[in-house]
Amino acid sequence: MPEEFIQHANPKGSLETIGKRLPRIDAGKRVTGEAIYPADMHLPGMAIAKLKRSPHAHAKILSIDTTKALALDGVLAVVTAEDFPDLEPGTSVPMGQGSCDVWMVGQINMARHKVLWVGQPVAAVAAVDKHIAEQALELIEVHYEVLDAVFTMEDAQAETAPILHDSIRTSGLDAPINKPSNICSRTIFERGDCDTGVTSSHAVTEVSVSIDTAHQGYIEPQAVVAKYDREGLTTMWVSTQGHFTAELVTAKILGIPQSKIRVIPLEIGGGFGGKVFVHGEPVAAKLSEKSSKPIKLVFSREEVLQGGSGPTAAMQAKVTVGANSDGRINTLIAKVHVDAGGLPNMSPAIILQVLAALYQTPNLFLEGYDVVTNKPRTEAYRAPGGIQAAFAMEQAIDQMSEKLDMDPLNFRKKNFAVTGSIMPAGTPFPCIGVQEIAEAIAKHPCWTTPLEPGEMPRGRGLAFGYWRGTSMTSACHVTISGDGRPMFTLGSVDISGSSTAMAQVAAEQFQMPLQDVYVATGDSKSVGYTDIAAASRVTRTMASAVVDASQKALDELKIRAATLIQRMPSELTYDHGSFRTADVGGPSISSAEVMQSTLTQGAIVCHGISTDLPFGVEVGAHVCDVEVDEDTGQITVLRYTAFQDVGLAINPAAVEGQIEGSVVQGLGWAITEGFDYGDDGRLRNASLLDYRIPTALDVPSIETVLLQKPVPGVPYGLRGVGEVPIVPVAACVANAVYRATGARMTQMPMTPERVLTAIQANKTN
Amino acid sequence: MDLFNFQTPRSIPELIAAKNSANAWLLAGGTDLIPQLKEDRRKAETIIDVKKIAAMTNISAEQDGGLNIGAAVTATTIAQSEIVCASYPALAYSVALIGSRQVQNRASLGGNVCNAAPSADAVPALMSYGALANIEGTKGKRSLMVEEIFTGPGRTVLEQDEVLASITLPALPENTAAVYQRFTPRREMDIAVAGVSSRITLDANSKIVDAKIALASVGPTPLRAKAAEMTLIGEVPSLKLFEAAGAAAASDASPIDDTRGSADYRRHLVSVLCRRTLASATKELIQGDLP
Repeated sequence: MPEEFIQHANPKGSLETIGKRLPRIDAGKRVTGEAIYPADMHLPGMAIAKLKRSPHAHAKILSIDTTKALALDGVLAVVTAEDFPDLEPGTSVPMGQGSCDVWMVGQINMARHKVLWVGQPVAAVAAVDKHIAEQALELIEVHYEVLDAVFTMEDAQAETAPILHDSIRTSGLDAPINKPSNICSRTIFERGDCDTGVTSSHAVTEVSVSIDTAHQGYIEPQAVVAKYDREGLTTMWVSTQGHFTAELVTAKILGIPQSKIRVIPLEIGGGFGGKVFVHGEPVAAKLSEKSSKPIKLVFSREEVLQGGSGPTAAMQAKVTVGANSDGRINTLIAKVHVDAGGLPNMSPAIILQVLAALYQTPNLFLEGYDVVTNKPRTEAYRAPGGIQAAFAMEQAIDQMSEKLDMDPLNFRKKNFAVTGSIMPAGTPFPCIGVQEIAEAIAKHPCWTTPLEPGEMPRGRGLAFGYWRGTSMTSACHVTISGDGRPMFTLGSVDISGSSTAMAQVAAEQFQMPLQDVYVATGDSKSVGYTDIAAASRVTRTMASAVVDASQKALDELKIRAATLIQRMPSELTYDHGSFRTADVGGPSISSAEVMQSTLTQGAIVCHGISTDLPFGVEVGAHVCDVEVDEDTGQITVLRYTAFQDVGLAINPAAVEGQIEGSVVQGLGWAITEGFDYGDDGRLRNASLLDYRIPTALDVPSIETVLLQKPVPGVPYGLRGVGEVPIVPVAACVANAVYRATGARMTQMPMTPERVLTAIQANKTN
Repeated sequence: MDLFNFQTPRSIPELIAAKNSANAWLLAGGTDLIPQLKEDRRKAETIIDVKKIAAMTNISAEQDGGLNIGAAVTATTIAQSEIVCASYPALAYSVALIGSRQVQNRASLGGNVCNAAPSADAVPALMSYGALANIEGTKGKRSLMVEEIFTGPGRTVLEQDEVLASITLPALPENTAAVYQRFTPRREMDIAVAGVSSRITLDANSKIVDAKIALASVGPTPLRAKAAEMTLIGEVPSLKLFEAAGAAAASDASPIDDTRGSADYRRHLVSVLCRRTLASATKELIQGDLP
């Protein structure tokens, strides 16, 4: 057993609760409908809010007249951008090692001076019921000066393109240009000499891809209840990936001290990156202040899709790979354009890193551009940029292996990064089981069993994925109840079953059955600052905080126990709820007895904090078999196997669930999803009928293979788990489609019509 | 959704009187109507529930061997009906494509017809079987071929005082088979990008003596593919013949570009599905591979 596992094991050196397949501690209330989401909330006197949204993709707001709306019987308050402080561009609040751009989030919540996409809010109303609120929206008169708009990155970069933001100058250029641009930044990672690399390569191959915007597809639309009270405190019940960030950002947007907001996170019906920012929370808070009523704001599905929430970034990428005759990659060139939507700063840096992280090459030139267009500001989605980057890179790798007449797995094995090799950003590649995954695939029936022929062409695809994740900071505290059992309050919301995992860690630490530990998420005024639940960080970092708090609490218990049985603390060992001495027949005392005797001498309250834990880098690889209907272009996924180094699976059932769910999301984006914008910038498929998230009938049974190679220096060796399993999916399917049909997929999603076109073009050539 | 009156007539005359006197929508399964009302895509003063009318909720055999299906009979009831499965399997198959299982438990055949969606899943099969729409109104009864009741997307020939009471499927000659196939990117909860129902009747020499081909989602209404039908009459089934029929059906179609597919792709799908449905229908009638 590796050191990281043993370090926190019980006295017998084994793990008892960690590693067990357990149902989620909140499964019952979730499946019975008892779990409370913001949309379930009802407070006495509560009013309903609705947002008026821009019908234009690009327009100046000349005036907004709310007189008629305010005069309507039952209308309680109206707000526009005028009700919020005019924040300077660049205004931010801290988030992890970086910051959160509050000016940008403010624009997502309420447009000021200008609208930048269809669906951007321009005003909001609170009324006694939904119908009156909807009527009032019609009575708000907004005068616009409609401007030319750009919807594609090509158009946005044209010399004569209408400019979205006069203040933007392209950063990162070799020779700065002092002229407004829709290209916000250029990012470069470079080493060696790619020109020489290409000319000296035995084989060179190139793949160009274009990827449509997709939505995270969380089932619960954005929802908030806000209540402003007489004392000037605003309480918000939210569905969020980070209630502290929601509090910081909302306070800044409202221009009030953070201490005047309390954020209570309720259940979250999926986030996947889309609920990191606030969408309507500051507006609901302001309406509550103006109306003196509790306010409920719930988005409709159409609002979520039509500009009310940030989908993920569209991307274009061109990848060139050069290799020597011995099968070693010698050059890697990539040019990536990322579509940020209407507001800037979708940095391509992480995408470039992810694109090239898994392979070694002496010559490297990666170039990324952040481009604005008149579409909703894009936001994070599960390993943001990862699946897009891999769609380009892993197809190029597949193509090169074929060109060299090498097995695609062996070609990769020859070129994988190794611990300590230098990644694009200049950092060393971590210790992770890349080769172990390759070995596992080489032995697995999904790879070794020949593909059975069907009525239609079939192919098998392989793709790898890398994701870094992050650590940031997590806090919790524990108190010991009168029966000696620990009660934990966590600063993190549970988007992935993390609370169950934390209960397992706590149970392991206290050597108690799972049901004897209490774990709950605290609100923003009852637990210490914790960063967002995102970037595969919560389970790892909160586990570290729980271990920290547990050790401190056990130490305090031990001191009390030692006093009670008149021994030195150093003589005592903690074993399954009791403190014992080493001598046979010596005294022992249970933690329940300790607390019964000492409860009124003062509480035991211990905190745990995890900051800047080593990254829990994730690597996974997928193998799939597909069948392609060459008459219709329809792809059927027959078999799917996902391999992943998970460090240590605290709850293998939950880890497998994360991987399976991730693959399903990836298949959706790979095959049937994708935003379809019309010429007017309106989303044409703004419903779940036409935005086709896969149903249960559309996905095969997904097999998972977990490998466990611990992260050095992290309690239990935990890695991130939840993001990387979406990264390889589209490339894996594309590689399988290529093997089936001979057609390279350059567009994602690979809709039937696009697949058919690719097949026909391939046959013509 | 605004306030509305709600009525539950017990007979067709009561229903007609109610409908004639108000700006009313009929409610059977409500799988289209209720979401439309909730999202304010449709306004109603009066909602009339037709599910309490016995004549509209029954399936009954006709004396001549045909079948009468009340307009309010649910998709699930039809899909599970032994007589429908035995005699009109393409209809049983196609109603089981509507929405999802939950939707099928509510959705009615009459609703699928009267919504007049070009993509209605149950309609092409009805057209292939030569089904009649039985309409009743203050001026009496009239029966039209199902395809004759559509005038455009969401529009029918039904007058203010008229209701679709039932659908009659005629008795079919010997050696008749029909097959409906649609193309959707998803397996369920989806709308046909294109759909084709092909029915053929063979004579003793295995010549095609009757063919009715109906197309979904490739025009303002569900369409008959008359050119494709003409290609088939008098011919012996073969792969080549069905290729030709598919090409003719593609020219019968008049699709548009929208988010669900381009016009060119839809035409292509019509040719593919026409060929496949004809081959599949023939397989039910003739042993062995097609020449």
